[in-house]
Amino acid sequence: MNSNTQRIVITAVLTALLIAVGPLAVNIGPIPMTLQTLIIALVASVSSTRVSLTAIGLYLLLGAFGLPVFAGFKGGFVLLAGPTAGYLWSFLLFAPIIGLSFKRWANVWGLIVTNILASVVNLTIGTIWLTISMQLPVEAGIAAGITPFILSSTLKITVVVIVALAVRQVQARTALAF
Amino acid sequence: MNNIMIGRFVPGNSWVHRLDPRTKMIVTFVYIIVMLWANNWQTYAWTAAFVVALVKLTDQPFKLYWDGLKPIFWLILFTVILQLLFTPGTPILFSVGPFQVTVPGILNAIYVMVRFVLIILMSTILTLTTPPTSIANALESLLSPFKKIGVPVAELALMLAIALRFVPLLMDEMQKIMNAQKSRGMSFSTGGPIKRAKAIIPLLIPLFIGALQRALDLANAMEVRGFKDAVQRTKYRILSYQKIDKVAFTALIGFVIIFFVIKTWLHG
Repeated sequence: MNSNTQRIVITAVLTALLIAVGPLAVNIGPIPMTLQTLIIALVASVSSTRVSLTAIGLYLLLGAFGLPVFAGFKGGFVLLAGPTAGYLWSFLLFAPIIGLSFKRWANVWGLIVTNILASVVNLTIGTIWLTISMQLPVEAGIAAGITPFILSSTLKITVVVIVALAVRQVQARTALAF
Repeated sequence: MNNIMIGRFVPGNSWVHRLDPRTKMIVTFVYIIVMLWANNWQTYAWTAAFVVALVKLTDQPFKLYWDGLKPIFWLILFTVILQLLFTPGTPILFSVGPFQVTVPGILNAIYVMVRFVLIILMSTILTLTTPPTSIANALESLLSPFKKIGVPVAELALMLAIALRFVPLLMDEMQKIMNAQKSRGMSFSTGGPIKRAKAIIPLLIPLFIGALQRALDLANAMEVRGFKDAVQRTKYRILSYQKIDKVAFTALIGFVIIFFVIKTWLHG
């Protein structure tokens, strides 16, 4: 078995998962919880840095050319340059950060810590860019970019860790890990 | 759900449909970059005229474009309100609590809205008239210079083509899993935030494991049929520029030149 073919196909299928699930949202109260961040963290949690970085990069590339793959079925180059672009670009960092827990710290704690770290980096970069590009005062930036997401981020990380552990168990049994 | 991805491409035989996908992508990209330099109503009017002309050329009902704008409506509104409230300047029209609505604020808000709408219209033209596989092919061709610095462009394009093919399959799969869970008494739309977030766990686990299993099957099937690597693949459809593409590029150059003429003339 040539592992090169497997790597290509698994990257493609993970990209497809990002495209299929990324635009969806779950109604959990006044603000719907988008699944975009969740699915990106999940893809990064069940594959190596190389595979997840490629998948996330392809996802952003498709979005840049206008395919409706981002949260809420949005797409377009404007989103990668607009006020919320920081959140999108920092998804690329999910691959190296969460990837640390794929081979080296491959246990529950590694998974939890890297996911929290990725989430913090995502919100920080997103908010800094939001604040700069909209020329907001710092407090307004934090109120718009961080506070509304604390509850949903915690929920997302919990879901990601539970699902990733289950998927990794199957990967370990069937040698599907890439 | 399916309709949203696939419904975006509408087959047709208009001028824009017949353009090479690479031409459309280059025009879209150059247009969006040029438009970021627009800074007064004359330049905005000129960029708007270009898009309206293109929309006319696609021969599609305007409703399709409106559908492309609708999902992004809230983001536009949010941006417009932020611009209204946080743009400093004079004269101040009135105050809302600690915020002041100013004349430059209103102008900024209108410009931001127009810019959003035009850029979305432009990318809708691209996706409405170009099938996803052509987009993947065009990307491969456009990114081929990056081969020289070691970017595996052929491999990335193959991944994109497989990914786009897998999306409808995964959406069907998701629907099946949801129905299976519902028939076992699962509810996806009741309960508090934690219960609803928990409800997606038994949806995602089988979705991921099923997808990885399919990937492995596909990898086996490809190898059995002699797949070695993406570089040595041959193509069913070979892209080539036609006369109509030259017309499009000429129009694009004209657009850019007139844009900057308007811009500098108004400043000089």
